[in-house]
Amino acid sequence: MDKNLHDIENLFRTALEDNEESPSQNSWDGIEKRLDKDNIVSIKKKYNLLKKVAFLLMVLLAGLSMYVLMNHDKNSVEPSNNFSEINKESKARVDSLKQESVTINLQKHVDSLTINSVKKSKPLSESSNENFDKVIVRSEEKDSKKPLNVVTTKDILNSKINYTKSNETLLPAASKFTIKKKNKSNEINSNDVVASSGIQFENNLSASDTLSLIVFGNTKINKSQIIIGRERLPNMVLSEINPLMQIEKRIIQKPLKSVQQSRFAVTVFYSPDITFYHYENNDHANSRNHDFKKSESESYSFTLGSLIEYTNGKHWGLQSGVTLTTSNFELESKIIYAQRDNSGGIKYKLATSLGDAFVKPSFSNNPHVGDSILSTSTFRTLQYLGIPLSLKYNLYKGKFTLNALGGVSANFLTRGRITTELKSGNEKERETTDKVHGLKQFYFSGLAGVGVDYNFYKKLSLSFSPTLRFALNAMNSNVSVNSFPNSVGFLTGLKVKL
Amino acid sequence: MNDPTICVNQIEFLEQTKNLIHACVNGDRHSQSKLYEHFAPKMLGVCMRYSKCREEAEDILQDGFVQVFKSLHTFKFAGSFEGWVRRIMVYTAIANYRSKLNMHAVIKNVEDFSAIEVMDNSDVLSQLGKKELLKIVQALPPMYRMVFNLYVFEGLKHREIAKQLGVSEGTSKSNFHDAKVILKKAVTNSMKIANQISSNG
Repeated sequence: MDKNLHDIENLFRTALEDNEESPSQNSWDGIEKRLDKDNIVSIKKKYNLLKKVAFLLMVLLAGLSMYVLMNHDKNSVEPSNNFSEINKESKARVDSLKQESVTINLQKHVDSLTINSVKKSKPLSESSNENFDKVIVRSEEKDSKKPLNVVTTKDILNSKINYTKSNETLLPAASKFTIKKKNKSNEINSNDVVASSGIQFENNLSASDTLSLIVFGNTKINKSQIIIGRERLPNMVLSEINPLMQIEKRIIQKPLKSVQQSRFAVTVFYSPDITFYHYENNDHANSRNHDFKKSESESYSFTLGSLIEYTNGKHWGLQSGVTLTTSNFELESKIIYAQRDNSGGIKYKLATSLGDAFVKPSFSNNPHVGDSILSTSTFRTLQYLGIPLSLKYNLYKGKFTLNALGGVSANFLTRGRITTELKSGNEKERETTDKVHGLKQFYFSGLAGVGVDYNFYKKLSLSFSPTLRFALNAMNSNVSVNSFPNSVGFLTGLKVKL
Repeated sequence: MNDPTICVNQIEFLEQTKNLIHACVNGDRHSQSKLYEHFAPKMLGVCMRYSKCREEAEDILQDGFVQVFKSLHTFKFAGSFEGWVRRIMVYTAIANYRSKLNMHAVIKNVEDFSAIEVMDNSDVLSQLGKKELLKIVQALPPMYRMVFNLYVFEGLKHREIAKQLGVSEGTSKSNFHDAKVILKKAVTNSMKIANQISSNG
């Protein structure tokens, strides 16, 4: 019995170990349907997430823009209400100061700053230099706000300083400043205090602060200057200010944060694109790239999106964001032939430079391999979600900012659709398919461009940037022709500094 | 001594399979179809043994291949790809069995077949053929069929089979024994019928 049973194991093992059975055609169809379904679900999941991220970005962007615009209104010219009180306090304080002074006459030309003399000067010690090492000079032309300039007391005592333009103003530890008027005899009239900015700022300053200033010159003097010295500095610094009262009226206090240079900017843009393809043949025996070049022509393409820029230092910046590129191409009419598709069914094969699409009109239900039909007009639409990352170099020229950028972009396929009109005899039907065999889910492209920003408002500027996008790898695979999309886009947008 | 042309063909085949797998991982439907075409007959042969009919076998085959394509990126080319696909099919068959556990009929007592005469396996094969033997396996109660397949064709120990099927090791051993007894009886009966037909004919 045992031997029998042992034999039965061997019998079945020998007979059925390598048994093969041919599956029915429906079996693969079922697998394909389930793979498609899983794919669609995963694409839906992916794009739901992207939609959420895009929505969040838009809400953030809208919120930031509103915040920036509202703050801008609040911080606009707001004359000091308690100016007379400030003056009184300043007078008292200045009266108590020693009368040794450094007198500086500023040339009306902004380009030079000359120190004429040091009256009754007691040379500043090194320690005082440490404590009072900076004097801030502000110049202004009519309504423009030129960069603040910094000179040191040490420099002042060393007689001549070249007036240099700078974007940064460094203010040392919490301190008070006084602006005083020079009298007719060119002497300091300590009672005539224009303003004491220290009173206005003492609560806002700390040792680590970087500060922009505050005091605006007289518009009647084209290039007026005010020099502000430290109150504790025993030397008052004067400037030619005329007329005084007008200056007084225009003294503006800016909160510290509102005048700091922001490092972030957001650009919302639209870019009409010109797209052209580079093709590489995989099947050298059957070169088709020339055919595609002839038979496929662009109808319209564009990119829109939102970019955020971080500027580190004066010139260099990093730019990233989200873009959505849509390109539409029109294909010439041609005769297409029925072939067996990947699922084994027989459909009409429409070959494009992206890959092959299979279509079957309802009036030709059961085509045979080799049957032909006329495709009268065909459109193909590609849509990619791009995540760019670029390095940007900025040059500032008045109200204009010139820039050059270079970078890469990861492009994710969101739509690959082919719509064609099929005609046979009197029957005509439009067929659409979202399945283009060979089209990859993503590809990388390089970015290069130059641009210009026009700063028409303090925080707003208009951007124009022609940008070249060139594919770093093919957008399709396992097809006879590998396609590399390139485009030139004319990016036009609104830039908001945050 | 190995035939060098066979070796070259094998290397080419392995290289082609490797390329096909890479393309399938990238979601290329054409390559997935090719991979399916190549392995489906062998795998359906496996699935047939684990099911009671062709329809059920094709269901397991579909589930198995979907699982293969989903898990393909985890294949490290460390062993035989066919073996890997086959294991997935077997696990899918086990999952299918466990999902229908409540629907399986109660197994009747197996009679003692000690009186069955000893036969030569080659005679049985020549008279019954693979299809008849497959039918006999498919006719086994599901639990017996699973244990018999896992032990004889997959080479699993009773401890492992018990773990896979959620039964005790003793149950697995007893089911295996009963399965063999049933198979033996079925083979004997089929042989008798075949002999009668041939003698009548």
